[in-house]
Amino acid sequence: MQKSTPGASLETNKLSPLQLGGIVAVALLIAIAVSLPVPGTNVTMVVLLAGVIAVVATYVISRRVEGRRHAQDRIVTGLVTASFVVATLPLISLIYTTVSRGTNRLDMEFLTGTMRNVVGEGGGVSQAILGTLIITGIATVISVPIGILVAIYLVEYGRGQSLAKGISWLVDVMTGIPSIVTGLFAVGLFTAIFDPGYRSGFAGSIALSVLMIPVVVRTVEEMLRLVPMKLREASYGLGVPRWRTILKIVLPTALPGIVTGVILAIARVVGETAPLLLATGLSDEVNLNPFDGRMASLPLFIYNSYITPGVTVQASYDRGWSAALLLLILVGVLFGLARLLSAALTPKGLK
Amino acid sequence: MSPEPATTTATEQSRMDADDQATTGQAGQADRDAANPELAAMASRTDSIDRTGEDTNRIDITDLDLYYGDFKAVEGVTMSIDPRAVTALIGPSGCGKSTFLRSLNRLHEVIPGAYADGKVVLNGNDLYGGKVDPVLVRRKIGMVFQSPNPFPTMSVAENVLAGLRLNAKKVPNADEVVEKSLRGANLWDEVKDRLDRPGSGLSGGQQQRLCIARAIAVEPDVLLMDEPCSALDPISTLAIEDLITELKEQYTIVIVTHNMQQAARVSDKTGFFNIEGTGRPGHLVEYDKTETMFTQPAEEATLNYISGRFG
Repeated sequence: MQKSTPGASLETNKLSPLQLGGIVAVALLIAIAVSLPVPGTNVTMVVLLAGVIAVVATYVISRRVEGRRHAQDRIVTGLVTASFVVATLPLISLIYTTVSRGTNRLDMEFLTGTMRNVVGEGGGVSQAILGTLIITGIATVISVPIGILVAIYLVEYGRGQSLAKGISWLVDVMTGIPSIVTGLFAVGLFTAIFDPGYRSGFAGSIALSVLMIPVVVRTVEEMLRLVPMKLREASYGLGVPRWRTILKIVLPTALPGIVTGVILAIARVVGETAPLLLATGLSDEVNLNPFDGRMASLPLFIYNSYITPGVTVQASYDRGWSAALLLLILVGVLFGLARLLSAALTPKGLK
Repeated sequence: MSPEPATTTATEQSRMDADDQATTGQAGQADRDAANPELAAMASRTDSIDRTGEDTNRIDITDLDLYYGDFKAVEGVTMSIDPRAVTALIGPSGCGKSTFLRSLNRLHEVIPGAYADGKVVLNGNDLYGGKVDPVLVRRKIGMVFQSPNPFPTMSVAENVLAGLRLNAKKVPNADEVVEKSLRGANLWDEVKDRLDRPGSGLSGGQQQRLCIARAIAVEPDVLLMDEPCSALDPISTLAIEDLITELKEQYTIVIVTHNMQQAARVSDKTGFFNIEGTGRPGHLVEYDKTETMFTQPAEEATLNYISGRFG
């Protein structure tokens, strides 16, 4: 490498934020000017074109003013930002659409009423809200203990053993099971035990558990691995048996992460439609008994509102969108809860 | 308990220890007896030995080999560690001195695949005897680690009591135990006003002394220290070295250190470990009085290492 001469300047020319803003503004103007004569252009295309022009122009100008390294830095920054925008646009669009269409029917009748004997307008989704809470709740109660125990085995006891490797591989396979297949599994299981045509909330919970367990295992496993080995050794060094070390040292230290993982796993399955379609079925009225009869759920309610809108199509669509908004709010609340609990449970020394 | 451990004589202390066991240890003792007759026998034998006797808490190691799976990390160590004295283990990185130290309270084997072959005898019990429970061994032989590792979910006081509470012992005189242990670790004056604050909020040197307080709160017979000062500044190091000198009145102390001045300052006897080359097992080259080791060692390898002409 060539050595720089002593006394050479360490300063370079820099583009100011104002100048960069100018480049973007000019790019936008050029994009509009180019697009206007072309028939059938829309805002998205203009913005995309402006983005491309801005990135290229920034590179060219930066290369002349700031030099090659800075120009490369600028172009990579531009590409990363563009990718971020492309990735977030669908989310923003989704939230915007659901909120704007979903608020039409978000009233008291919708939240407290049911669809029993409702043919046209009106009606409510209380049966679906309760159904979703019951089915997901049971699935959580089944999955969380199993998932945590499997993770404890994998991290604390099975390290390096072939059984643990086998289980770990099976958990990976489980992660990839299509959700409809878990529904078929639940139907198969319950029709084998009971009569054909058996549908219940519990069958749906079993199907959801199959989806949830691998997620819980994976996240809890990660969290347990993050607990430093030196804490376990400190505990062993005090003559504390292994099981008590896990219970009193490892789990409490990993608790914030475990709680977050469990809540994210719930959020993952709360919107599952396919398994419930097969295992739980639909219902227009409140059914609080998960072991007997079909049960409504929010995802299936949304699906059904679009598939069989009945006589007043718009009313059914509105109910569907409002139910979708409710589901979105539910997931949002779960995410918020995960963050709050995680912050509240983190030991003060680690913050 | 005496607020000034420095002035407590070994005789007084061991009498207090006996009293303590009689009052606080009863529930645990009964559990132990029921669970494992052999260890109950071991425990009562230990208790019956006069703890002020010359050879109580002496550790005799005979032909100890240590393995990590197929890899032999330490080979053929035979040495006798004096009671109520400080024994320093020195040697280059990777020579197996930490592995050896961890084998003394059977912590070596918590790493999957690791095992030991040989005899380690403490008060007439072979720690590697077939029926010995490693958990009970670790209650007799405490450990202080290289980097301070207070439990992050616990307060200062809870950390001190961890060894007792985690073993499901009721601690009726908790405040007393906390104060005595923290005083024993020369930390009481610094933390007495924040006993309920997280232990991980202390400075590095304070955390390490908290770990020592935690280790002595369970009243072990032996204290193992694995480079306890390597993560600390000189002032904290000095505090810990002073503490080690005080603690040897009561405990048999084995310390691994990379700092030869430290070995010379605090230890009564020094063992030098070395390896012939990478992949070969480490072994004990020489073991003698610290003074002899640092002035006229018998082996040339020891002299080279101590005088910095190593490798």
